[in-house]
Amino acid sequence: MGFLAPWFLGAVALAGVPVWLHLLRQHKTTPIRFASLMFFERRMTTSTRQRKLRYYALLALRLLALLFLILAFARPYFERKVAAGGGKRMTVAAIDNSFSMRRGGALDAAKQQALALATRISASEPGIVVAFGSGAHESGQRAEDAATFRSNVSAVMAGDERTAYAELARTLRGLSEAHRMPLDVHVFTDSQKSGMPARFADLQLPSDAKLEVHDTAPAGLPNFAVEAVTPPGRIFDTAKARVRATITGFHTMKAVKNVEMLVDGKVQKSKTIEIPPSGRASVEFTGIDSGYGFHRGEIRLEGSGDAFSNDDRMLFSIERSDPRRILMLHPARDGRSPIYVKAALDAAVPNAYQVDAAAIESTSTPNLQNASFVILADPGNLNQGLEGALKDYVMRGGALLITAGSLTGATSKLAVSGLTIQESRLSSRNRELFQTIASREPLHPVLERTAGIESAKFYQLIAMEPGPAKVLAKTADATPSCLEQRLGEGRVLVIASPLDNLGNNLPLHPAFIPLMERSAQYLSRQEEATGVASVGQGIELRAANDRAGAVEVLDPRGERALSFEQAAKATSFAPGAEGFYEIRRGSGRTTLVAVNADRRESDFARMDADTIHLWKATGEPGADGQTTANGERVERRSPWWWLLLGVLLFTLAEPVLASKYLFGQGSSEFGEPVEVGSKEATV
Amino acid sequence: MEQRFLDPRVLASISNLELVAKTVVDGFVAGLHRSPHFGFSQEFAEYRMYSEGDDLRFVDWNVFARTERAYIKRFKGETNSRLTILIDASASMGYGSEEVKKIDYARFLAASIAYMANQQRDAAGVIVFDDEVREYVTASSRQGNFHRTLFAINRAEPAARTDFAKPFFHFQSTLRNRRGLVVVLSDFYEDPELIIKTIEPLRYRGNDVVLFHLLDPQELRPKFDGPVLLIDSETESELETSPEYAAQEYRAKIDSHVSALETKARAAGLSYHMHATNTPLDAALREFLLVRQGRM
Repeated sequence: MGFLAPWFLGAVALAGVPVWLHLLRQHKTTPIRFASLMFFERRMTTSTRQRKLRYYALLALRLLALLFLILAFARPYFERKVAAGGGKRMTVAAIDNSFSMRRGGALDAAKQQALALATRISASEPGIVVAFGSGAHESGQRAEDAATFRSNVSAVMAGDERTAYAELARTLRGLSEAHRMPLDVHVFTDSQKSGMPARFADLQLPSDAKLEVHDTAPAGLPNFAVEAVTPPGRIFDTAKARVRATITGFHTMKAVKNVEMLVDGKVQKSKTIEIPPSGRASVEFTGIDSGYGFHRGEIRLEGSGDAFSNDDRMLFSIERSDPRRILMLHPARDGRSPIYVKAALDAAVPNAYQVDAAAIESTSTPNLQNASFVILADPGNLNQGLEGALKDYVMRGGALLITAGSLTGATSKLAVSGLTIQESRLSSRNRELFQTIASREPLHPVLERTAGIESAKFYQLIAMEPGPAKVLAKTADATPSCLEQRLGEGRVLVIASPLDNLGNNLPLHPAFIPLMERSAQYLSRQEEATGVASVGQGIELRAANDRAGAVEVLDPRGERALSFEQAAKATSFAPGAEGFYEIRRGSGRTTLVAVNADRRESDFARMDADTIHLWKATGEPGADGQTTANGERVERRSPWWWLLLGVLLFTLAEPVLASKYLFGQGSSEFGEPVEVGSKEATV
Repeated sequence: MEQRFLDPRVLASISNLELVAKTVVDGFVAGLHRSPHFGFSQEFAEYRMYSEGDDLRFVDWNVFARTERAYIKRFKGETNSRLTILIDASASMGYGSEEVKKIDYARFLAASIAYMANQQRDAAGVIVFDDEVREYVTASSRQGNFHRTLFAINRAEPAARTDFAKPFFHFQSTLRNRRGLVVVLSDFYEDPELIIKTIEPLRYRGNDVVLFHLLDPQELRPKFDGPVLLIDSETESELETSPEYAAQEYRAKIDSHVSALETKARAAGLSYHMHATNTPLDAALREFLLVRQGRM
């Protein structure tokens, strides 16, 4: 017997309370004046003894209730030995099908070795085949004959995931619980050290599991790999486009290698680099000759000379497009804002954006078809047609940047977004001279590079009720100065001051250029167009609250990677294999994502023997305290429920017994009970 | 002050009862109790032979004329009773577990009886005693005496110990010359033998003695929830006891005491009535008067 929370036993001292109530309190007497003691006698000793005897049951009841309650909190348990699986064992063949197992026929060798286990499979001692990479899953059904087992082994296919032994251990624990049998686990793997989890405890095997690690990796530790590629994602000027790649040698000697850049299967650039011993080297290609649209790129390492060629290339995708068109609607009298916006965007990314400025008063049906986003400078009261068009544009996934000025401050609601305007705050000599941003969201994409924006001076701020909008920046008196609002599938970014260099000096502030650049990227959703991801890494498909429209993902073979339900609801997608994935979003946007295997798989350093030995030890009988050496499983049973039931019964019985004892003495055996009710006579 | 005792409810409940004295006492005022006025009773009782010294006014001359023998007519001498109320004002009478203490109950009862006697034109007096005689109002039917009696009753406050022997010795000398009705109100915390032995001589002298034994309900059936330290009201002595003793042995003892007192009182020709202080006062008076009427 043991206790899960033995410190609660310290409360046993509370048992002294009923004892004190029953015994010590008996000696406490209350002086009472009485008419005459002519017929009284001293009966102290006898009284206590009699009362002790008489109240013994009540005392025992109270003590038991208290002790049971304490025991219930201490969570006692009893251990019981039960035969695990009736002495039978289950064979588990865990085959590593991670990316690294593609080298030198390692996976085939692993499957061949696993097939040798088929001879021990029977109905009483079944077998299970588990394929594992970054996740683990059973291959086929539980096999109770050799043929099924062989079939399950053969069904294991090569994958591009990275090795995660912790996931294998977790799956094995689940199998042990599900089948209630001790496991004989045979792991066929290349024993990559990089597959080890950060915490050794995550490798805990189920009780009474015997682990055997079969190393199936071929010889040849040195390996060169393309570790990383940094493509521009979107290019506007092909001559200036740059692609950077990192070549890494794992346990290699110094080498000179040729690196090529291929676009749509054609070699466009080639460079020779020198890779230091077990080091890295970077190569940069400038200028990409490509047409408009998405292109499939590849960085290839020529003549690596190692045993693993799958990691000698890395895919990337680029999109060539015309400069992003930005429609800027501004009041006719405000000719300054477009100038500052254009200058800032040109300074940030030359030729990336084309700002089409138009006066609000002369625009009733704007051409929003090609606009990556719209800037609405101090809209004031828009005409219904224009506001409806802009709102519809945003609801369907468009983006809008609104700056609020004096015209907007004169209205009650902000155009399109509908935010309630409280007041227009103008600084003056009688009040504060200017306001500054006191706090901001430093991790928000729009503001993450705007260090020093706190020194910008705002002379005019349009105070708004945030409502559903998120406040990204606010002044010292908590007036929102920058807000973000989600409308349908689109985004609305609100700056509560104009960009005309009159309401503030922000256009002349150094933070203005990164602010406009990041705002443009954020609103045109360019952050999603990086074009490179890893196998198993989640790719965002939609916002969590976005239910509008289905998202289609086409895998490298051109097949739909998502079910209908996933296409309608999934917010992210984790690709399971290398290749180019085409993502078609509900807004009509299409992106091409190049998925590469995790380059940790390129490091073939193996687990040392001690680590494997320790891992085996976690499944030895008795290692977890639940299995004995003779294969019996120790089950813990806690009687806490019965203890609580006892507490309940004792608690119910206590008042009954106490009433009988405490009030029963008032009855007289000489006649009718005398109702006295004396204040003095009641102790 | 009298209104305190002359509770109309008490008077209403006993106004239809007559206080009839059992004993014919000597008195200078003769009359019929049933009459509201004083006077001589004409109710014939018996004849007896004239002897020397008899009052010639009572010789029946008609009989003498017919028989030439002198006979004396005897009339039923109905006179006013002489009521003396003895109130025990010892410290134990000051005990009360409820609103009404024993001494209060005794005051009410004494005042009621005195008032009834006054209505009957009986002579009424009171003696308040503990170990000494504290108040003494001679029994008299004079106007004003009733108020003195009530005043003395009202002044009865529990003080010292009870000592029957000393004051009752005084009573014997006071009450020996006139027979009447003696009412004793006490809790009788004394040996029954001693009590009866002390009071019994009053009966010998022709008095009709009624003992009212007044006890608090807590004295009859004490109830304690735990051990208690009891302090004697008269002696201030302390004694620790248990609820079990109070519930069992004490009850047996007090019941035995009451029983012994009643037995010995009746054996001595004394009327004995035990009343708890939570019983209605009028009911106690009615019970007492009915008993007295039944003995006529």
